[in-house]
Amino acid sequence: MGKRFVGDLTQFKDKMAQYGYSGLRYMGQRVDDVNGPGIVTGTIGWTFNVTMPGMLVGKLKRNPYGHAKITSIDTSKAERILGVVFVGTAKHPMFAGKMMFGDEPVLCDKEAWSNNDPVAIVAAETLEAAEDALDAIDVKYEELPVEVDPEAAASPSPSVVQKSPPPNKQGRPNCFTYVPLVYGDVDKEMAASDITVELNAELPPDPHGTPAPMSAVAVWNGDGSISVWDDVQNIHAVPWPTVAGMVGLSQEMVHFHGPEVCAGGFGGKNAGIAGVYAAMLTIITHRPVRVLYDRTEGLLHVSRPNWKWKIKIGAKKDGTLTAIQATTYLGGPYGRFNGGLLERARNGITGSYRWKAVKYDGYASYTNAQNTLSYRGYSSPETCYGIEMAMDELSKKLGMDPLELRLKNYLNEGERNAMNEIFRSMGEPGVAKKVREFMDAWGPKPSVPDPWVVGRGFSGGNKYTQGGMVTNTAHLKFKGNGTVEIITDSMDLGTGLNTVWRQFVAEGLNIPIEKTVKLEVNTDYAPFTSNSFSSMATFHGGYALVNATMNAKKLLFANAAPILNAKPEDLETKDGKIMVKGKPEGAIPWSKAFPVIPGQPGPGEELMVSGGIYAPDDYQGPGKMDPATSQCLGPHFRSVLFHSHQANAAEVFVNKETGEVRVNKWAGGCDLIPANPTNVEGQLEGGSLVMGLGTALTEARWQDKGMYLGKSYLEWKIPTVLDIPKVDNVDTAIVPVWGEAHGENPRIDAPFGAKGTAEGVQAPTAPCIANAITDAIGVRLTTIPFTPDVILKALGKA
Amino acid sequence: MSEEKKEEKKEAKSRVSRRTFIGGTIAGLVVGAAAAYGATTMTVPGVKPPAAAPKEAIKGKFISLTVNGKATSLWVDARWSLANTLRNSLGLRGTVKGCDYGECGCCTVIVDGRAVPSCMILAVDADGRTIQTIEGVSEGGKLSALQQTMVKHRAFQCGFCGPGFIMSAKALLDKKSRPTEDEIREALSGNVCRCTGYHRIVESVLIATGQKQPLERISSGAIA
Repeated sequence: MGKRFVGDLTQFKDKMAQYGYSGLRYMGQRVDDVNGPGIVTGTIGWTFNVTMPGMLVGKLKRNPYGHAKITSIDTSKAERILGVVFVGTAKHPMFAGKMMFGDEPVLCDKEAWSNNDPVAIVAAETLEAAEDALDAIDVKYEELPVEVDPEAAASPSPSVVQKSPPPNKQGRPNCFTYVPLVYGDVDKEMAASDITVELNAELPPDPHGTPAPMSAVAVWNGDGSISVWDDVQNIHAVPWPTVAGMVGLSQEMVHFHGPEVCAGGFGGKNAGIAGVYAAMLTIITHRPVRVLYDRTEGLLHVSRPNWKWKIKIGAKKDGTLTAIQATTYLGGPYGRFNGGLLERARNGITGSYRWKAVKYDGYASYTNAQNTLSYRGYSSPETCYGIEMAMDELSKKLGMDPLELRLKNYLNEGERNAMNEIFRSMGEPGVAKKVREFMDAWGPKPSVPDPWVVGRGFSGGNKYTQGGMVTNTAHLKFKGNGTVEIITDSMDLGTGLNTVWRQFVAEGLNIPIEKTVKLEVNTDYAPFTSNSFSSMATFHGGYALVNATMNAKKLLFANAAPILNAKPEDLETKDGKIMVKGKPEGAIPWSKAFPVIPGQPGPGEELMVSGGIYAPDDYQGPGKMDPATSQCLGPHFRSVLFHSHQANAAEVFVNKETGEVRVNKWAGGCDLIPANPTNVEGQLEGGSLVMGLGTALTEARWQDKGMYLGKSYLEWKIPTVLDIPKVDNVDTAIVPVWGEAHGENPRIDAPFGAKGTAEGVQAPTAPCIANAITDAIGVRLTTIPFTPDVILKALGKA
Repeated sequence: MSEEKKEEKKEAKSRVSRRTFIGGTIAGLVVGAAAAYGATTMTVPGVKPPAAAPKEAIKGKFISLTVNGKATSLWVDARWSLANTLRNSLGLRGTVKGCDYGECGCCTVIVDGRAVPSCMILAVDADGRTIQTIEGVSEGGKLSALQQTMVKHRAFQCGFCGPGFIMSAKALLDKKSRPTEDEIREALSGNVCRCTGYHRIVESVLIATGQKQPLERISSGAIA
């Protein structure tokens, strides 16, 4: 088997002690995934497995064109089809509104901005009747001009102006978000550089592509409330308020349930739009309704937006970096989460490197490209793609080893970056060296028969998680029988959070993990802990839970002290008992220390304790950022919650006659204390070997006048098992660094030092593959994916 | 644009659905019960009341299947796939459906010894066949050796592809107890996973067949 490196965690035991370290009983251990048995039997609580008696099927009719005027919609034939219960258009008041950021129609009325926009909706007794009805709805369109290029759309005089009134940021009619970064004098530093590298990089829209289609079930209740089960990554931040707002109910009247495991998220299930349509249909029909997207809807409904990068970097002869100038254009038909992407790209452009000057301009614009949503990494793969290719080119021009060049320029722990943020939890040098060590251990490049050639590439990566959109509260319910119930809204997307939450609680309370249970995620009783996006759940949710264990012990020890004739600080807890430290013989069950109930001879049966991140009294406030320069003002303010770093190495075989690229070997690493190394390795492998390689090599997005052609996996080519390296050729490294966040005063630690990891793992993959292909064929390719035709064109053969 | 080109374009835009495809092949099937619709009597403003009687008879037939060793007989609509029939009529929820085009393998079951995506077989065409689903792999609630390895080795993440992978692997292992890595890759190549990178799925099959060592439970650096 390939190598699996997990660094020594015992070096952190003193730091972990303050959070209830119980000897790495569960922290850092390969605890079996609690979801495992449900998954291998297909019985786990995916929303797909939620069903109701008498459930109707909800389906959407969608715009086949890139951009079109809707001249008429005739639903009369559809309404007459047997089994059809309801047919709706934007003329129906329920569907007349706009959702998300108020720019996206629930159903299009006069105009459809982009391919796949919904224009009509059907509820029917069966799938067959619903599909017959969709076919019978007669929509007349007139095609309108289309602009899918985010750079052209951002021009001051674009050919297509998407919105009325146009957002018009920076004098650009389609531009709805502009983000700058100014640090130092870029022109001066660039002029003083010995060497500069310029490249333009482009990333097409790329769907999240989960095999599980998006789905939701909604039920109208007799009291006028509705219950919704939606396959989402979060409940409180976006889907719940969106559903409630769009159907005109107060949030308390919408009982919103998350899945036991979200069936693959990657950012594409952050909005829960299927739930909006299901909720609307159940309110209209008073019947349970399932809205289940098919594969084509899944691939056309959400994607990473189209990105264009223009990057120029400069350096001195000795490899010292001087300046970076970068411009980003990205686009989509609606705002969705695209504006925020530019802020993260701004953070990423400063990267893990030390620059003397930085100039960044980011423009997010309306285009007629396919619809978008946040995508794994939320700009970190796209940003690292440009920078890490430029670094590779620079190392070639300098004749310098790519690792040496990076090590020379990485920021140090505690140093301020180009946004005047204090850089913390910096493990990139360690990860880069370890991954390089793997690559060196592969030995000399193998000889391959002509026309194959071999190349090797290396790339660093980073993901900067921003805070926000959380409340950070979690509850623990202690029961008399020694069980602890975990109540949080943080969703497991297959990342392993359902297991990791139990590890944190069991470690903090020093109890067997079997005595912990995670309750269903819903809005009725779960607090707003953390969303499962931006790799923030481990940090936010984990911290809240670890904090709850600390609060619980404080309370239990205070109550137990008089019983045990000891001071609270002399007590400890183990396996559901409280005892004087080192004296297990006098232990009492913790239920004896539950609060006493008036009128009852003893303590109550249960104890509920909460926890969360709450700023201490001496917190200096969030500070602020200068909007014109993106410089953080004040000594402690940071826009980033925590920094995480990654590295990849790969060996590719390229066929110079057919353009085929095969990845023969791959190594990846990240810098964190793993709550569960198996989970972290799973993220490294999955983030790179399917999503990363797919982005780099196969997931092409063809469109004709805004009509997207990749409507199935057969056309939009997700990698299969035959596209990945064999099991002996995959190495992973987890290089532990202590996770710290939230500025310096106070310095807030990650739970037991464990940072999140799910997104950044993908960041180094595409540039690593690009660098390896360049090494093999001697030509720099910058527009992904590197499909055979692209390779042949670069070789002058097509 | 020529008429022919226009027609081609129209063709490309129209959805090629199972129903339209089946529409032309339905002749000869037994005409079955027509009472599948119209169960509701609730009237809600703005909602069409259920039709009193179907305009046309629903085509379908009674079929016999042996599912996980048990013989069963049921009526199926001629348009139903085997995947939908297993889920909706027989309540076998472990057979999940991803695409309906046979491209993702999520709904893979074993039909007469071969792993096939059950969305690509019409229920009426499965008449008389022997079918094994994920429910038949862990009979009596006991996980098979492969399933146990997959849990321990964390083969899946969100797991939606899991039952399909297990059925594809089982079809292979039923024929060959120690397949090579290449044979495993070939057998699993019709199943798509977005989470795991396939790495641990292939490793799990190698571990379950005794060809690779399982990971130690406690990572070496992490022993207190």
